Amino acid sequence: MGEPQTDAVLLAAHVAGDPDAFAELVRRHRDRLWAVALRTLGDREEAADAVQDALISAYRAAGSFRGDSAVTTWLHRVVVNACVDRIRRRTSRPTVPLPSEDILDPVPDTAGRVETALDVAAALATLPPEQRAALVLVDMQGWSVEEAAGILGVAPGTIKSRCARGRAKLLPLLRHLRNHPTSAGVASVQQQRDLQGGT
Amino acid sequence: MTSDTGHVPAEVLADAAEGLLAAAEQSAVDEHLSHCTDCRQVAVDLRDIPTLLAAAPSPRMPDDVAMRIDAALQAEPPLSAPTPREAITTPARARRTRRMPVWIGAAAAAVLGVTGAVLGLRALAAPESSTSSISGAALEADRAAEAPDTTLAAPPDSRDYTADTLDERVQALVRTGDADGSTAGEGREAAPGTLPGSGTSGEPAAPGQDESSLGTLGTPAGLAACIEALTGRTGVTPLAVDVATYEGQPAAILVLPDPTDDAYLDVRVVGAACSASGDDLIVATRVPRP
Repeated sequence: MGEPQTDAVLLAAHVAGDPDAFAELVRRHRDRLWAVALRTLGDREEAADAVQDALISAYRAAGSFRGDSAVTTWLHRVVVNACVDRIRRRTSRPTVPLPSEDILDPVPDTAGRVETALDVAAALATLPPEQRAALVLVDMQGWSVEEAAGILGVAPGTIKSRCARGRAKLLPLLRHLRNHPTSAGVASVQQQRDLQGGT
Repeated sequence: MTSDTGHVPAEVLADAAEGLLAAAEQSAVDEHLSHCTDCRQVAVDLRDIPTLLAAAPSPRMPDDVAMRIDAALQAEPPLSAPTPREAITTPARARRTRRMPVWIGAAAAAVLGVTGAVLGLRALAAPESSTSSISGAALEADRAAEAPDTTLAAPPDSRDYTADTLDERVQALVRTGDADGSTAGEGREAAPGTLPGSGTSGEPAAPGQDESSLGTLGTPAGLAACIEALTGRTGVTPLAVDVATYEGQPAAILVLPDPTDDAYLDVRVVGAACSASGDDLIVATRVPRP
């Protein structure tokens, strides 16, 4: 493919019938889309189904994408909405999925980080889906409030409110972790913001 | 402002941190914080929550999930036909030829042409003994209707579904059901346990040799339990159900509405053991609606 192409160019190529362009787009963004889905749903199989369904919808609906947001924002919107829909449909199943080891990084570097990941996953599972999605996007994935508002299709004030309510609910569940907040966490937020600023 | 305990509730402090409070409320909170160390500590703890959340390691998409998604996208037809040859084919044909090389399609059509004629004769001779469908109305229409534009579709009464014929057979099943107008329609939700045919054709699935070979799947309650095991949801009404065989094994072909895309059908082929305790899934696929 030579020069790396922008997301918008790849999407236009896909709409024009290029059979490989969409797969390349997916390769670029799948880890972040996966992290959002897994953290929002808390279940590996459900997350896989949600991401697959969402990407197939995006593949087919690409022609109606108007370019009024970044391609990544649009892909996140499709995936997050698929996840929130799934949580809402879980009427007959336990509302709090048990976090499994799938939540974890494949190669956790310290025991403390594993503990954090499990605690965070369990705590997130107690939140209503709208609050969970907002916190995953803003606090965990590093999207700005305005970007998260675009992804979830609500006003920025609504994102702020959902994040605030979510944090208040998480407080009693996560307070024990804040005795040893890692500096790695701060660096990770900064890195994610840098990454997203570059796309 | 303060709760019964005399302190500011955590959610109010969280709103304050986001600047969501009205001016009067904000100054009341500020005033309280100026003399309450407990609430100040809560405010500090709240500010640390985003840091804690960001510190959780970010998972990467597992290889098997990535491969599965790549494969699903590969099975999708390109958005616009890139070559003149594909551009002049009909949409239905273009979808099929992409999945199946032309020579295989031709060979399969030739083979099916022969076996189809044989099975068709057998079906004419003994229409009740071949395939029984829980969706009685769909099956009746299935028997009556012609499907002249699907050369690959086996005759409606042929018992055995195969990987090669599944898509066309399912489309024929649904198309004839739609033409009949009496099967459960476009994703219409029915009460849990209600099956198509039970309310529309007035004829519940009669136990027969096919149903008995499939155990509880032949009963409406057994089928509903199976669908719940497959989808994790109750009250999903199948658009059509064909109790037949798949690659020679007793199987039920369940055609469900695709919850994510109205243009597609969610097709599950299950074995006799499909029940609330396990789905006994043989094949799961998505098929474009005819």
